[in-house]
Amino acid sequence: MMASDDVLRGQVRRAMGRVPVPTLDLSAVQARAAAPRARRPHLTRTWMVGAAAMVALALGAPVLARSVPDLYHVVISALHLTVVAREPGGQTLAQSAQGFRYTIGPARCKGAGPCGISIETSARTVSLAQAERDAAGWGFRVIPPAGLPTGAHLVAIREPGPMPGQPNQVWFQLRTASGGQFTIQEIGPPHVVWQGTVTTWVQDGTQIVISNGNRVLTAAQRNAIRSAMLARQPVPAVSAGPARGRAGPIARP
Amino acid sequence: MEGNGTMPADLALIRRAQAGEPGALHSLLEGAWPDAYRVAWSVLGDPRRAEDAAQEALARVMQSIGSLRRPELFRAWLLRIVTHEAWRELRRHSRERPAAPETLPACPAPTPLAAEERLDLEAALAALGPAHRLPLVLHYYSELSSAEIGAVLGIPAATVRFRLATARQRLRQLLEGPRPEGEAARLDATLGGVRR
Repeated sequence: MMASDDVLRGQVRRAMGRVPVPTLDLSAVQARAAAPRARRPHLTRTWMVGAAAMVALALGAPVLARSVPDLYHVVISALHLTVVAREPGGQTLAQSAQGFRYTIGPARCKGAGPCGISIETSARTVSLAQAERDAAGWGFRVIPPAGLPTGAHLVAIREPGPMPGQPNQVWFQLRTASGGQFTIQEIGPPHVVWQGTVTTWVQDGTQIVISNGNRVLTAAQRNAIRSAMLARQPVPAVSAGPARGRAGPIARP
Repeated sequence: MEGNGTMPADLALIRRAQAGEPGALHSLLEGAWPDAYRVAWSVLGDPRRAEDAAQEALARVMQSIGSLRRPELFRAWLLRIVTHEAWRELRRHSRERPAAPETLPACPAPTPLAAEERLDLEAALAALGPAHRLPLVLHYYSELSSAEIGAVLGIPAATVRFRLATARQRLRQLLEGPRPEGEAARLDATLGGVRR
């Protein structure tokens, strides 16, 4: 027997009413409202590729002779943009003199605005100074989110492992000239292969809100990371998904 | 407006939000959140992506509330933004590769009431596809008229009515049991022809 329209209405309303609604994360909404909007990200990527080619041509044959990772480097340093979304599977961009291999990613540029960036290392341990040297050597320059102070620079912070005997954790932070800091991005306990996580944070007193890169992770992922960071616990490994630039597994050195 | 009128108390709240009162804006967003989330969910069928789309929509509301000329149309305006963001997310997702498995805990399970009915309904709704599920949800859940749904979706009211009729027919069939193969093929072809 065919269900009447009223019955159908009731069924649909009951079904929709049973959809569990998460709590509204007002800080995330505010951060999204403050963040620049990417209207055509696919065109942005196209533009990036074109811009990279133009830069390569402008710089001449020596650049063309370089490897693909170096070309990325050129894009970063010459255009002052961070890395565009990278194909899954991981791309080793640099190898330090000590044999530590680093992977940049994932990142997703939003128009001409800021990009998130994460750095992973396959090294079991890496000294703070070494990490700083390596990062600076690649010319990392990450444009801060709109409305925030410019002049950010990347520093690495080494912290003891969460448990005695565990390797140190190395964190990269972006610090601004004003003393505020944002973009706390784990590279994880170095013995763990972290999947790409890119998040930009603004730390304001005790509250950390997401300011940029918030489209890269899902809301639940961001919440999990934020909770862990606020509790000063290891940030959970999450995957932003390959389409959004996932840093794939990288081999141990 | 068919059941979509904005209450005077809501109107006052909207006007206060438009005047730049933060508390009013937050209350307005809090109140709009369940509808925004559920409508986004009806398009995307994924809790986390629905949350992203709904958050994005509320962010747009937050940015543009001052430009809303007719506060009494707030709800339709909100749903239009939500729908736009959800479709945008859906299109973006369709261009992208499937996401890798995530390690985070899944969304909380729905309440264990009327499990059989719930499964039937949810399966039937899910089987409709977003192009038909959304008008159905906007009509039955959000109580919008065909014209209002058309305004929200940016399609003619007649198209809305056609999709609603198709969706109703399909939903009834799905709820009442398996269809004959020939009819299933014909219906699928019909649905395919009007799918966005």
